[in-house]
Amino acid sequence: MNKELITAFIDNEIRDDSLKEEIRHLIDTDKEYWFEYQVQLLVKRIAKEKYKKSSAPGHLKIRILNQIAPDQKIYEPHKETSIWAGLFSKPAFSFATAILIVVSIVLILFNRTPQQPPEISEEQLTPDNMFYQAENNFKAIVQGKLSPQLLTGDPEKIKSFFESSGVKYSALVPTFAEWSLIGAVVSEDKEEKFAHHVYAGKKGEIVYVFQVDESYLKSREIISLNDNLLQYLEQGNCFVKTEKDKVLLFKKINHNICVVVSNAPVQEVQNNFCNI
Amino acid sequence: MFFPFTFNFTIVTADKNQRQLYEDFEREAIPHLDALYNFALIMTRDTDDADDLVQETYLRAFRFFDKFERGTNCKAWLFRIMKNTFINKYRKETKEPDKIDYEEVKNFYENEKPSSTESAHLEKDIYDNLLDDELSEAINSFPEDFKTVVLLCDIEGFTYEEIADFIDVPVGTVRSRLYRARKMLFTKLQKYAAERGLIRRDGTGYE
Repeated sequence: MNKELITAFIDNEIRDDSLKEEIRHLIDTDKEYWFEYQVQLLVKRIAKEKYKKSSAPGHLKIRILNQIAPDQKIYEPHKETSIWAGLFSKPAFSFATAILIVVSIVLILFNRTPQQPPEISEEQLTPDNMFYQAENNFKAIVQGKLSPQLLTGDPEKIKSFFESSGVKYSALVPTFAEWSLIGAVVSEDKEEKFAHHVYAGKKGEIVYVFQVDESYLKSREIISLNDNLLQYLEQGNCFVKTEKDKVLLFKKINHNICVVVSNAPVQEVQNNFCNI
Repeated sequence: MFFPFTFNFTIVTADKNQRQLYEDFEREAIPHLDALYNFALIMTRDTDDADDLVQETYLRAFRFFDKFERGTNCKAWLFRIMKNTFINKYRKETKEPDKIDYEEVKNFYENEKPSSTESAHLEKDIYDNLLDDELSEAINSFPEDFKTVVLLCDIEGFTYEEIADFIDVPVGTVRSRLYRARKMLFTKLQKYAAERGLIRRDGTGYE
């Protein structure tokens, strides 16, 4: 009998029961067949257990998902527009209202003293600093070392994931026209859980968002943020720092301090997050 | 809020079917990304080309995903798409695989008879002590035809029929190549084991 049939026998590729029986008998009674059987079986097991597969880089998964994601984020005006918008539809008011609003804006702009954004020094960036952590996490994502624990484009699924994973605060997961939601990660520090999520742009840009409830930053027990920066954000400002290959943006949204790190164009990041 | 009024926006989701297709694809096809990438790397021998090949494979697969028969082997389907993509686009540009003299291989490994091998050689514990790198290096050093069948059968778990379909040969050829490839691998593993002092160089095992 052809010894190659032993290979097929091991791989469960023999359909004929009588042939199977014949091979089994040969293995039990013939030393040569027994040897062939042992060699084939051993090698198959060792190969399966020990072969080192190369893993796809993290950016590849993001790039693929981003390219196939349906364009679900088309913004269009809500049918129930606000009372202010309604004023424009009434011809008697439209021109006067528009003038009034423009004048008001100009007055506000002129009377407003823009606050200077704080300086962040390298010494302040200790490992428990949110700024420092966000930069490092972003680096890990880009290098493919940190992959989403949950892969989804559904913001509700991400919120549920945060909640079920033990994140104690309500996290904001907005959607944007330019970027697709990719997934989320929950990190843990001193038994407290923190929410992170990631978007990807059409050209493979990564937008990483890390948000914590401001109470964590105020207590400083687990995570900290520079006092002047925190104060700047408390006043409703958006802090933007551009670096050679990325932009960092801080913004307080509801009760959360959010940091966004991205290699997407700075204007795009700013437009999307500073206006939330 | 800076402006005295805000525009209200609403998010309009894509066509429900399209969304469902995307979710199904994400669930069924994306988990095979590592397997495809690993094999793409073997086919292209270049990380950038492997990236491009896998990306293109997934884009094509998504385009035809509505035609994919649910419940059948998605991994095999993706591998087939990858093979066609590779043939159409990359094969022309990459080096042709080495031609193999099958008779030579056969004659060499047929010499591995039970009389020359102690039973101790067949104990899995001996080979468990080998490094993963050694095993991977041994497989990767095989001629392409042999490497392919071992990877697809023993590592990826494809059936002979799926492999035959992938490499365009009869099922009998798959079986034959596998038989020889495993014997080749056994010889290599013995060599590594001897180098590490796990078995004697003369082919006999330690007590």
